[in-house]
Amino acid sequence: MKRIFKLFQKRKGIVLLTMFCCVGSVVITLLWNKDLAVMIDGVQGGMGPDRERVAWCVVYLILAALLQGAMQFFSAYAGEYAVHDLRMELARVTMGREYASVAKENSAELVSVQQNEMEEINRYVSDNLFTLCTTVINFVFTLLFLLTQNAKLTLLYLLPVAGMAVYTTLSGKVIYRYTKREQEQQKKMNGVAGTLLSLFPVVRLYEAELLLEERYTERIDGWKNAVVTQEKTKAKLMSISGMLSCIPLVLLMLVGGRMILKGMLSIGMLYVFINLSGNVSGVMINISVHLANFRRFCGNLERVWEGIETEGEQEHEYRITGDSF
Amino acid sequence: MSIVLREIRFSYGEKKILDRISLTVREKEHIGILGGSGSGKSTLLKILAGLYPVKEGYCEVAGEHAPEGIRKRVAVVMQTPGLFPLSIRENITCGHSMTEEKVWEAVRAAQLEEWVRGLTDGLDSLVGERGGNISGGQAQRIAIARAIAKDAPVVLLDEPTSALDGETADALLRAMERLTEGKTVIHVTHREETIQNYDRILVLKGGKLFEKES
Repeated sequence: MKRIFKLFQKRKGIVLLTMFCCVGSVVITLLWNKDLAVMIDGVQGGMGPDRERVAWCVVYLILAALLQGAMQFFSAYAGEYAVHDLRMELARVTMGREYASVAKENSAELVSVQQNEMEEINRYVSDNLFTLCTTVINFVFTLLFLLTQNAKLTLLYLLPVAGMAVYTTLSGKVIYRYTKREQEQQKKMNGVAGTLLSLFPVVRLYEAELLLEERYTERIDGWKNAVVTQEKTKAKLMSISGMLSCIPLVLLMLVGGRMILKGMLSIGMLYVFINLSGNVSGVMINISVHLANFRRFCGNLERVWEGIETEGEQEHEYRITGDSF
Repeated sequence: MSIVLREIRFSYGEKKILDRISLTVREKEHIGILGGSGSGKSTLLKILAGLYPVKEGYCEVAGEHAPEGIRKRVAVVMQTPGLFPLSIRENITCGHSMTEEKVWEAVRAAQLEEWVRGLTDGLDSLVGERGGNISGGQAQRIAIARAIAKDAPVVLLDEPTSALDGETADALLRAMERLTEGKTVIHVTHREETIQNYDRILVLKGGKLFEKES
């Protein structure tokens, strides 16, 4: 989290503005849903919706759309600037490095940090980070709203989801472990490719093609196996998550339907519960996906920051330990 | 003759590097070529090593004139050792099958034996990325051991001591004596003292090769 705060340190104003738009849009959506419940109940009771309420609903919808648009704009702006700041910082540090420390680096790995990790950070910040913030805000506000409307129904349908959340958290950890393993294998593979290019004359002169090919094949196989294992595990864990995700809706229909029959809940409110249930249970069930993506982003951010912060601490001692490719 | 160069011309795009270079080297002759930065001495060495194809002129090294054939007949030690991030053994054998005795022979000749025997993993110790786990002198000596193990009739040296300090460079020159013993040698450098005992010293200037006036 420290790294993320650092990433947005220079752009606090715009981040706060984005958050404000997000909260505003969520609150307005909830208000509109509350009015919708009243209107459905009115129709159910044989009365048409009154004009004033319809007018308010239109205002809510327009406001929510405007705030959504503003949030998209500000989040894109904040994301681009934050990533630009990070890229510039990395470039500044790289340019300022002493030749001795740069010479010991593997060019392919440096390029990997500057292209792949930066690219992933850029993509995540632009497409996911603020979406995740919106999801969290949406989750908190919707949960509070549902609790105030009907605490019993909310808790009844969410209790099993809490168990599923534990499952998804654990599966998120497993996915993260495999993701990390896959990244390490990819790094090693890039290292061999870099060596192959930088030592090409030596490879030709000493006919070391077979030796390098053997190593490269080993690394490709290692990476391929890591990717296959990661994807298989991810697919398995996520398909179970998908199956479990039907449970809250089934519970809502069962418990909510029973409450309607007993006169403890209106049809309009059940509709709103069904309408908003995804904002709460969906987040809890898919937490492993959010966590895996967030951790991948943190991993990339960590690698880039390591590159920035270890400058000046480069070790020049020679030792027989270290890793080979 | 071990090396025959006739009317060799070479340029990088518009920039002319070598202009009608001709040279004949007898078997086991040691030739030193002096030249400043950008004089084309490394380019000449790369042509002799079969790394650059000859487009104009004729180049024959140890009876071979096709680049693939030439590369089999030469052992090269460059300015940078160019080590693979693998073990000392793999850097010497380059993946070719070689007896343990032959590897140790190369290690001994390159004056690395004492150091290698002192390492926990011996010949299987990893040299690290770009030889990052070992010193510059040790890395260059492994490169020499690799050249010795290849046992090619022609040895090409491209300022192998340029990146080393005086004491380390002297030790390396001693290690190179075994490499060059009984071989045809072309050593390009900008430091005359490293080639003063050679049979002939030539100067590369303005893309042309001259005999050095004594």
